[in-house]
Amino acid sequence: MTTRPIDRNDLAALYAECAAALDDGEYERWPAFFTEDCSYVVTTKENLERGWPIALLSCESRGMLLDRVFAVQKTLFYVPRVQRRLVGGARLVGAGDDGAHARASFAVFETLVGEHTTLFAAGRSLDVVRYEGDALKFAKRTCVLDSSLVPNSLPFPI
Amino acid sequence: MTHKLNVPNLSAAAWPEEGLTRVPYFLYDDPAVYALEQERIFRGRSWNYVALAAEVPAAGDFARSYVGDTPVIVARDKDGDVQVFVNRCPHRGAQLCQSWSGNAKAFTCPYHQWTFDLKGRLRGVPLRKGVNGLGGMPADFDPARHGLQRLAVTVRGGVVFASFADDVPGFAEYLGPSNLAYFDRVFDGRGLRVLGKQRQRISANWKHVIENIRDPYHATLLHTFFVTFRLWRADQDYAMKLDATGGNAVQFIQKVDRGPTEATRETTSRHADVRLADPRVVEAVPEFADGKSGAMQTIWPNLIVQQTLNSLATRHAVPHGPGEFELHWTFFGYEDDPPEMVERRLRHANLYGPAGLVSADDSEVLNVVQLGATKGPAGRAVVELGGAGTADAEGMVNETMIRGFYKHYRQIMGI
Repeated sequence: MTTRPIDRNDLAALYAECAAALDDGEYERWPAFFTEDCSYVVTTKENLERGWPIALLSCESRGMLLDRVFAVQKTLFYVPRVQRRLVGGARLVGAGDDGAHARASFAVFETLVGEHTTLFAAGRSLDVVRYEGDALKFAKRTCVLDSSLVPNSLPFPI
Repeated sequence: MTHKLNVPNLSAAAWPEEGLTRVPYFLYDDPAVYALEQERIFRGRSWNYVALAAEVPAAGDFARSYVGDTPVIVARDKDGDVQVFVNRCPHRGAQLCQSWSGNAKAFTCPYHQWTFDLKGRLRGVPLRKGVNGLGGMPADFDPARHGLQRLAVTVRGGVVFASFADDVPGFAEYLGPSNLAYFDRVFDGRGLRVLGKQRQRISANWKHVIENIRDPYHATLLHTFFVTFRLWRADQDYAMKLDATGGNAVQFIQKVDRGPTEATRETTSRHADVRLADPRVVEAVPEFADGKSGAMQTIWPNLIVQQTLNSLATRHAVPHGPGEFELHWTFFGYEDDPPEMVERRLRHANLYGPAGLVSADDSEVLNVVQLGATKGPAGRAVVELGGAGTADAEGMVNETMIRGFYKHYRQIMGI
């Protein structure tokens, strides 16, 4: 594992590019922002605080990310919508054997056909990032929703 | 105490003359129907799921839940009994408990600090005798008459049910023999371990999700994921058992692996050659003695018990007005699960809940059904697959369980 220090521009770009791929519906680009042995989790503040391990969405490998993308593109039914992810407050908070620890806040807006734009979700992410070659990637990404209640459904990653 | 309602149109005459093969769409958005459901179904002679006992293991542990749309507190008292109270101070109506869960020695109202013990008894009224001889409660004020409203409680296999009625039948009688056997199959007396919650608010009437579970027809048509990865097939062994009322129903599958048939070709995948990149998400091991790979049960009025792959969950459909409901999923395992079984349960949960590779389809489609059914001229659903009856049945192309639900619904609602 490299001990190369994290360039903050790379960190900002990672968050921005990952959000843009999902917002633009280019889901097939999304797994490449993660390491092969990544973990990707979407859970709630309630589960986290109770120490409950269940997650809304829990991928233990890049393969599971690919399967999620396949489902979003080929098998899941959902009504058409536009999502917009705003990521802010990205910061490095430390480092461990697994990589550099980063935190950010996010908000996801959602626009359904014939409806106003609504706030779909807000929360924070607890992330571990490291370089693979020149590319900074998520080794772990845990998105923690502030609300326990998901509006309707969550077919797409955060 | 009953609420007097003025709903002159709600009589048996309002139901389509075809009977149970039709379900009128006004059931999904009429405020009078909704109010009557709260009174006659949820505050009537029903056992309402509120929690797993493992959510409140120690004295003073509490959790918020609902009976119908009535907020309740589920609490463990010092004798080890589970109590269920309406989450409302009997003084001026403020909600006592605003957290999903916690531990408390007593419940204190934030408004005027009235305090109730873990059995709901009123233990403290500040300034009860007034100040300097002025004001205060009358001398005949009896705290014993102003406790929290307590519901009847029954616990079976670690699952807590509550009732506003004090003459509701015992839980075994309520479920009937065939459904009780399936309930006891999952809740077999082993200690339960709560794995966590998933909660979603869906823009649809609560009955849509009960119908959805009682509708095996959709499973291989809507849920492309199941078909694509050959987890479900329209021709698989499938059976449904209803209790005598129709209010409780269980359905179960045996995983089969046969070559393509006419039925599978009609529901076949356009992606027959695809494989999961990481198949662990659906790799299950048999864990019940009967060898059945899955059983889904609906318990009157609003509980779904899910056993699919190695995923176990209760799904509690909480009405939230005529056009909305919340689905609260509690995923669990057993205290004696080895670590690899816990991992499987967590992995398989990817198929379920609001982000489920399968269940997200349902959340979306229920909203679509609500929008279609409740806008426009009066209409009704056609529920004729498998005939007009409500008997036990086999095969997936059958709506007997939906008809069974409305047989009981009409009985209880008087329509």
